[in-house]
Amino acid sequence: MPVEETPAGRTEPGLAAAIAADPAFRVLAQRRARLGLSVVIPTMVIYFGYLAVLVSAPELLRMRLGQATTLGLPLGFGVMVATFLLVLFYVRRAGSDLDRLTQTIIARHAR
Amino acid sequence: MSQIPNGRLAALSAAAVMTPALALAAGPNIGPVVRQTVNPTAIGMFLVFVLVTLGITFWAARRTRSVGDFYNAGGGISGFQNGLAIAGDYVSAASFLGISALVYTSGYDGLIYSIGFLVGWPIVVGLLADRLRNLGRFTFADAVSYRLQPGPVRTVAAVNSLVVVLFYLIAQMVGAGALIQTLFGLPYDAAEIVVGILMILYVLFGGMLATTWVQIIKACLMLAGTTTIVLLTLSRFGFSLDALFASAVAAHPRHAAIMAPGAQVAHPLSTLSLGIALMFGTGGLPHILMRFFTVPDARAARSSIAWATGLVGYFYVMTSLVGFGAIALISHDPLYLDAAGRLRGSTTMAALHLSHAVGGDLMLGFMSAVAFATILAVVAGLTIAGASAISHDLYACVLRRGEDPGGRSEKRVTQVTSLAIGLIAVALGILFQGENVAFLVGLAFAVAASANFPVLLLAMYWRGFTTRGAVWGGWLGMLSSVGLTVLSKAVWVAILGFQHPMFGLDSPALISLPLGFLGGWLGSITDRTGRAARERAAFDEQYVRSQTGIGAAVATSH
Repeated sequence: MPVEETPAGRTEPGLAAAIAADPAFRVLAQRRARLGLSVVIPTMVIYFGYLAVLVSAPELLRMRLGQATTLGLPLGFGVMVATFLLVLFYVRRAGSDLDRLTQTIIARHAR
Repeated sequence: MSQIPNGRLAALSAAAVMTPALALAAGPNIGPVVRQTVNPTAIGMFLVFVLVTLGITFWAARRTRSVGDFYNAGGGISGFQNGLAIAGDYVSAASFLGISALVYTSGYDGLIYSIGFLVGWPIVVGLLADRLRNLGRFTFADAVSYRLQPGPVRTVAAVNSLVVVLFYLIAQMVGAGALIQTLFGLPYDAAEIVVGILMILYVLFGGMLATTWVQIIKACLMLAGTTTIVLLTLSRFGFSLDALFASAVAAHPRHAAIMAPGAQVAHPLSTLSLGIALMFGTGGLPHILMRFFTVPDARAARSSIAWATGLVGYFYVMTSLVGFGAIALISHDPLYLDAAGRLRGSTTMAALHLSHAVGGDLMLGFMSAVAFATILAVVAGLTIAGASAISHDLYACVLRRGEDPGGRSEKRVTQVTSLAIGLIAVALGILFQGENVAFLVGLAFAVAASANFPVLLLAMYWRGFTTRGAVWGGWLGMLSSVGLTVLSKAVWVAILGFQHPMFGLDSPALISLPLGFLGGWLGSITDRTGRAARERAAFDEQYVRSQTGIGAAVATSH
């Protein structure tokens, strides 16, 4: 079935108001906001923290761990791994917790 | 000093009138083209590959029926497939060639791009993805204009998307040009024209469904190829990373300095500015945001981001190792150096030379083909994003006010726009020859972070945001980021030929991203019209829709 070729449909005003008034909806919005921030804030702290170390204490990153390997490498790659884990955390949580709540709300208000 | 830029401009005007003879005579930049000894194995591999991907394009073209198919592959791509396709967008000239080239020239400093391109994803998934998927249909402008006045909002969004896409295209064109130049021994300008023609063919026949499939296949091949190169490289060092780094340190003229940050320490503000651009740029890249609409729902959009982040992260680690491997194995090998001792076909080719050094002609042919085909698909995806900004946002929604049953003339406009973007891309690719590809992508991220991200975020989160805010924020963010880029070293000195840059930072985002937010805020709080009041009142309904997805477009199955 092709998608209807009309501009994006609006939610009926009455339905939107009813959902907005639903306590479960407030819980959903709150949880999504909290989950979002619990990913966004650590990311910013880690990344800008890394950049701060990089420009202010480069000798730390220059520290030798082996023949030539420096601490900078595991630290840099570590930021990348942390980034991935944070994304995974959000996706897992949103996929179980938020989606279930959303389905409940939709089911309750669908005619 | 000023001769080089003049030569570039001359070559450009020659290429613009499409007279190869003139183009050949014009530029000192074409000068002593490094001609690869013709390599039949590599070229054969390469041609087979390009033909196969063109085949996929034609196959997809026959399945492309509606406007939806063309723009978003009908919304029927799975989360994993879409993750691979997003990874394919990243696993392109920008990273494979650009990051390895940066690591090749400056070691650790190149890593900041690898890391930066990745840290945008938690921002996108945590703040934007769910809501965007629930509100939009084809482009992010759908979400921004949900409760705002579509005309002015879509106009700004379309122009800004186009600007970002063009910046991003420059990087891909420069990478593709260097590749074709080195592999076939063609003059750079001719290589650019070949790339331009191929990309237009892709877009006109295939649309988003084709680029999605081509991206998926090539993301897999690219990941496999890069892994193989890294393993072959490591096998020379007894599979010890430390031994590889030690050999790189011995080979590089800056020795141990390449294992720690260098240039970034010297320019902390530039580093911060670049960091901001990379972190918030992902959330404003139209061709990436567009990919959230190729999947059936918000859930699939999220899972595609998880796949993409994992694959791209893995790939970037590998690509950085490729850069170090290139320092260790090819930087002193006369086979890969020209008479002046520089890498043949510019440092952009470091990764491909390494593939030849460790895997012979077959590996070189395979990696060149995959790299080139990936660039083509990225370029095609970018062109579609740019063209849809014009045809969907401007033409269909603003000029025709959505009265275009079947979307027939909209598709026609898309094709004409794609053609125009292709020509502009060729011209820009010639102008920016020789600049680092990852750096150029960084500029695209800066514009995206300043022009699109603030408007998108404010539209979804701030009740007080109005049409005037979106217009002011969008224009201010775009004009300031582009303006500062023109005044910075990359354009003011390298292309226009002035002695000193007017703007000292390499990336404008430190100034232009706050300006984007400032414009959005100032425009909104000064907006006291009745329309603004209605827009604020409509926030609740938008909020419900963005959280639950009730009423969002249903997907087709493939």
